[in-house]
Amino acid sequence: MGRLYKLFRWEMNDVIKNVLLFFGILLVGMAMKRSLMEVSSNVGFASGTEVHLFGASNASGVSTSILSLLSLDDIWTLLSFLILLLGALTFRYDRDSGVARSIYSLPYSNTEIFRVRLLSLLIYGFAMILLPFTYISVTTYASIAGHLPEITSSFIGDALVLVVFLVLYLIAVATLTSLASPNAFLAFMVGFAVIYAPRVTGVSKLPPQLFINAISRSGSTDFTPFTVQYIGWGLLVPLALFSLSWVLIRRRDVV
Amino acid sequence: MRFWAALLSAMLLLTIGSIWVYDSYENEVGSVGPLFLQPVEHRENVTSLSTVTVHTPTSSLVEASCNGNGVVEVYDVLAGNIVSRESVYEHLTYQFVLPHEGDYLIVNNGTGKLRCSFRFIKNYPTKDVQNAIYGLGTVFALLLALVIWRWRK
Repeated sequence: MGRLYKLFRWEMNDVIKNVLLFFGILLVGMAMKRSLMEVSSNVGFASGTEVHLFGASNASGVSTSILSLLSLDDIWTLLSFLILLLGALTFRYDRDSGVARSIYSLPYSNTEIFRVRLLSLLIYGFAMILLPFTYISVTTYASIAGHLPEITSSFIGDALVLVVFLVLYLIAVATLTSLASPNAFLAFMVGFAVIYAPRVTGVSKLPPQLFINAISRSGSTDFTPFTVQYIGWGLLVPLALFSLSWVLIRRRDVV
Repeated sequence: MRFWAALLSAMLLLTIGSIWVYDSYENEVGSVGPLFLQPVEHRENVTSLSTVTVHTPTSSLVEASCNGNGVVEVYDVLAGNIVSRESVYEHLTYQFVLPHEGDYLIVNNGTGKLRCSFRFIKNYPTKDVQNAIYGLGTVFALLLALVIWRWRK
């Protein structure tokens, strides 16, 4: 285990990846904080023998604000950019710079290197969205922090599942394009095209737009992330891409 | 080591950034309305009312300007207590303070119709929010200092 841990520590402490993590957390957090700073209102109508107006379930303003943090376009643009760069740095850049020759000649199998690098990439990817989200929602609503679990309970499960699906998809695309392409720059550009083509052409049936739209719908009645469409794009496609990458890293020579 | 240093310094800068965001938001005037507030109707057992829920991310000083006849009541949605109650005849401009961030319910508990608009003229983070931000900022700074100190060795 100590052997693999050493490799893991190398991967986690790479300078350029750390710089990207730094800017990722900072910019995502600032975008979230800035987006919260506005007053909003909601007009409704209530009628009946007993009218329930108070309590955590009626705090719709707070719950929509917190949910909107996860479906901001800015944040996902930034995150897909950073994850693609991180993927190219993790799986491709060492081959371009020649470091890979010495790493792959160490007594580690290609599968072990792949597993450890993928783990570090997953940690980076999830840290960049979940840390700022938790920090911003807890500090902004610190006066009502006691009510937050009750307010968010209706949507947070669905929303986090969709976030996991989306980040997995982004990481899978970044991994495969990095391993398949002949240099880091091309890996980044191809991944960029795959992620952005559905967005600019307005195809909302494909990720990432599929998930971004779904996140803002989570918590509403008759919505569940556990349908074929979401599980397919968020779990099965990433698994297929990861296994394809695994085959590639085993078969392809380090050049 | 370097990973934790990057993570902690990002969180520390995010803390400083949050304070800066509050500073620039302080004088940003937000407005809600004009809103038509129908009076609360009681018919036998059935109560009907039109509600306005307002969300503010800070505690705010609000200037309300109302026309018509009625009673404007502002409630804290989470706690259920009343924040402000003013009777309006013809026209009234008054100010009240929303004590913390969150949702507030505005209803007209009078008999006539009202038209109101609300301007959020001053926005300050509450003491709890400040404590959370400074507290977490301190924790991040101390951890970062620890990481760098261990790194030096």
